[in-house]
Amino acid sequence: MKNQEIEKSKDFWIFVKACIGIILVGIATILFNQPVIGINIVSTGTLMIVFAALFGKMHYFQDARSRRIREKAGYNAYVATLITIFLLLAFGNVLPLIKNATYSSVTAFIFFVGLFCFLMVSLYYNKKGDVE
Amino acid sequence: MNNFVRKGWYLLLVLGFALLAIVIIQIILGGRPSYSQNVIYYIIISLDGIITSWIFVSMPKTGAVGDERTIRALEKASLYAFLILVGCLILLSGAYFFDGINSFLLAAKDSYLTPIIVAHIGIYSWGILAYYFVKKGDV
Repeated sequence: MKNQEIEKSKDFWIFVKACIGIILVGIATILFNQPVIGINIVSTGTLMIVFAALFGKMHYFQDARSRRIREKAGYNAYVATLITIFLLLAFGNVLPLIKNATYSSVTAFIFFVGLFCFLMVSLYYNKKGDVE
Repeated sequence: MNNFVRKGWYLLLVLGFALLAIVIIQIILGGRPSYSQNVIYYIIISLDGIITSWIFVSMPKTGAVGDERTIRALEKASLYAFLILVGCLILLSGAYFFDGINSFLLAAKDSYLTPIIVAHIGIYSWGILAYYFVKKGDV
């Protein structure tokens, strides 16, 4: 799909408004004396714009193929997240780096493993083409 | 399903119920002090055994049908289960920010049961969603 068609479509402008809204909410949160949360929200909005620019065509338009890609990627990411949780349950006390870590400090790591896996697998299936 | 394997799942079902009954009786009668610390583990293990063996016992004799539609339903269910899992992890990792709003999160944050409960939430939500999508028909 060409860039002009993307700019004309309704989904694109809804997405742009959502990104601007998130950034404005972040700025408002900074003004209300919550700088850490505010900077996080602003960076989320900025990252959404960056990812949309990188993988734009994949994320704006939800046809049958992209839905299928998302489901397959979700399946793989779900399995990867569960395996990570079980591995940490089984060997968390033995591994030297996380031996003394509490679960709360590992949760963010598991969360990023899942999201990274989801992103990479969806990118792979999108490049691969045939999803059945 | 093989008849011998089915008998094994029946055995596991009976064992799960027996373990649950023993745990409940121990709770009512008081139990040993060392036992009461790990009682939640026994309850979780017995419920897992009961639910897993119940699923396999109630499965048709020909086994689960793995056609295109079922695979699609399973993948769709796992996408939503993944989102639920990620939501749980976000809530737990952001528990410091929610201090004052919900102190339950802070209590659950460093509990020794939290990883087990999160894994159970992921697996059971996947099972329930897969059941729903397979029953619903159109995926």
